[in-house]
Amino acid sequence: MSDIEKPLNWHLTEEANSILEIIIKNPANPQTANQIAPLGMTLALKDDSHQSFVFGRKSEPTGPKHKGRYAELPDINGLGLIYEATFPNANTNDIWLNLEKAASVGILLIKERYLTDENLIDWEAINNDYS
Amino acid sequence: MIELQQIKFNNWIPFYGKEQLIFSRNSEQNVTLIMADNQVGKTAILRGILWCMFNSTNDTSKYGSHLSRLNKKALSEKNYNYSVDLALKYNNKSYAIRRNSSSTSENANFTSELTLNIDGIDYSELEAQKEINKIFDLTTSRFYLFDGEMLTQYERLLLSNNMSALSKIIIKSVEDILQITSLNNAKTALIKVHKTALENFTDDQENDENTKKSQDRLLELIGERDDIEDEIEIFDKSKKLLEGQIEECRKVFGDNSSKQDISAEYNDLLKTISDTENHIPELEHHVNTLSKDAHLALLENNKKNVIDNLEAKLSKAESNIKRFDKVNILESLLADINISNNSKEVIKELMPSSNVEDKSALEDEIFSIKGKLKSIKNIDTSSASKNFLLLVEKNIELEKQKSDLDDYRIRSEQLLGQIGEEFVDVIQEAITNMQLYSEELGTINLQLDDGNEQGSAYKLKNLNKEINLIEASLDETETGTSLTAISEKVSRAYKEFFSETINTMVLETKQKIEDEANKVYTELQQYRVLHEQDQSGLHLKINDTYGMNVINAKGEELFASAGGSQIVALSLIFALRNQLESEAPILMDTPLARLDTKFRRGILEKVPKYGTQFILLAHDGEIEPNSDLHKVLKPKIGKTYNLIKIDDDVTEIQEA
Repeated sequence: MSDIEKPLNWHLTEEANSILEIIIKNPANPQTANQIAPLGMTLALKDDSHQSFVFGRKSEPTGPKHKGRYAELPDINGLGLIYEATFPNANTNDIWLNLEKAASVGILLIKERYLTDENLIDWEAINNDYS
Repeated sequence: MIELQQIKFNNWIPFYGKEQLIFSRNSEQNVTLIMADNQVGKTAILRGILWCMFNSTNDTSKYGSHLSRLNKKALSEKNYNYSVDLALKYNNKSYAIRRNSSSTSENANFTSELTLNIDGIDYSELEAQKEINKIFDLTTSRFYLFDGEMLTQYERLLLSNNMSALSKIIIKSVEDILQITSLNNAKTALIKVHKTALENFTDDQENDENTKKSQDRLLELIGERDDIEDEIEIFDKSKKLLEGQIEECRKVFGDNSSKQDISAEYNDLLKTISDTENHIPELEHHVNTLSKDAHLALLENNKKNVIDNLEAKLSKAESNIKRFDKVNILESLLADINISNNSKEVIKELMPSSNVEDKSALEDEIFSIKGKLKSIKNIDTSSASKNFLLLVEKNIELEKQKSDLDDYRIRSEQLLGQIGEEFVDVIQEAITNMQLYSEELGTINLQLDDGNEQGSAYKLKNLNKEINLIEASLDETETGTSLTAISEKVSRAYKEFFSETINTMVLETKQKIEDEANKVYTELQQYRVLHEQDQSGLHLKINDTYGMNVINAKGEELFASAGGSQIVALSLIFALRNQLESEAPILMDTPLARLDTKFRRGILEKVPKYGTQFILLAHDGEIEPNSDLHKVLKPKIGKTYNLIKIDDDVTEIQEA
């Protein structure tokens, strides 16, 4: 994994990005994309379905939105290591792309299952599903 | 002897047109019982007597204006004339007092008139008031005409060390009765005379320098004392003002008693909403902080699984590499010359197939797994895992608070609908003011507490001690023969003589009051409900502030409440009353409501004989018709009246 160089920037799909904008409006939730992305990634690690998620071409106007520098994502190296070890059959070259996808998939999952009416992340429900 | 004969009301508060009461004057049946429900007009009778005699209703906030005293129905008919006539006997002379007020319109000024006729001789205005005050004045009226509230105030006086302004008024009225006030005024004048004499002494070149130093110090201390006394006077005034303002706030609640429970709930709810609104941002911040590392906590399980898998792989790889150890051993046996060829053939058959590349690949794999394991184990998820439980807990709390806040808001809207917005504003203002005034009062009380080293009262106490010490030493010093020295000495002697005289007089009169109070206390005590232990042998001892300490048979001081504070309060009231004029009526307005049944019986059995007349204003809850209590009173009743509420604005007096 360490041999595979991280891309410079990371992205979110348009839909995930609009959900992220909603999430950060609630002051009790994490307040930056860099804080929410690792959460999305972690939630999506539950299975490998994110690997087949259609991410779109970053160069297209409706494609994934640039959100920040990969190196600035907290604990990203650890996440990469765990990702690689969790999905040994995945193409090693795709680790970072898969994690980018996982971030978007995880954020969509938050919207689907773990967001209250007041757009507060429901940590109790997450705890029930992930502990 | 004072005896009330008759009172006539004309458009007075609840009484529309003319209504009258004739008080019982039969010495065997001296009770006039006036029964009415609350809010019908009992207290208006007491207020009527006070207004007629003293132009006061004892409640300036509610009945301070003419329009508040004028009957509402009369007002609606544009009849702006109201009056109260009181007929009484004082020292066998007939007094007819009339006070009336009238106006030409609601907005025009009212003109008031006081007239008095004593045995055919007319008096008016100031002259009339002077004659009325000879019977009793407004201050001392509280010992003849009192309501349940007064009893409560006396209880407070007895039970509290921190005297309210009202308690001070009571003490002042007690001192008035004992004529101590005028003596104290004389003493104050003498202190001033002595101070001037001291100043003259220290200015006089003829006087001894050492004595002048002492006198200088004395003057300095007296100056300081004057300043602190001024400070204390200001504090006292502020305290009285604040207590009045707090009372006004309380009245806002009382005046709106029908909505009081709802408004109390509403105001509690407003406070809860405010607290919750303040608490939610704190919780949000807490949840936000904890959530930043939450992903690491969620990785904990992945990390464990990954570590388990990697360790299993490592174990397998390490097991595989042991195969190469076996090859090494067998190869060393084959090289051994001491081993027979036959044996070596067998060893060759046992030799597993192997190549160097396989071993190298395995070693690389082990190295890689160990590297990954190390890196993954280094990911710190444990502290985040611990925080995650707290995050969940705070998240639940936050959601609950938000949900509760919604409920509170819905409920407050409902209550607001029931109360009316205007009323809520009034109550809210009263609550805010009351909190503010109470805080200010607390600060002032600290200043007036002579146990508080930072307070003015404490400083005054110490200054007085120091002044007394210097004066005592001066008493033993020959201050000289100059005119100023003699003048200082004489004025000091007068001042001290007066102080001693006052002290002696106070002690003597206090002793009288104490004796009287004990007589009443002994009579009333049998109606006490004794708790826990027999407290026989209890008696009262008057203290510096005219409160009563309860002493048991062993001479130990008990809390007044232990001796039945209501009884103690009444004993004091009657003892003081007897210092004034024992042959006078007693009017009690709703005195029984806060007393237990046994003690009510005591009041009804004993109190009528303490006065020339006993006028009792009561409601059914205090004395139920035909109840045992009513039977106690019945033989003593000369007149009974019922106040009948005709409508919200009109009450009629009907003789039963």
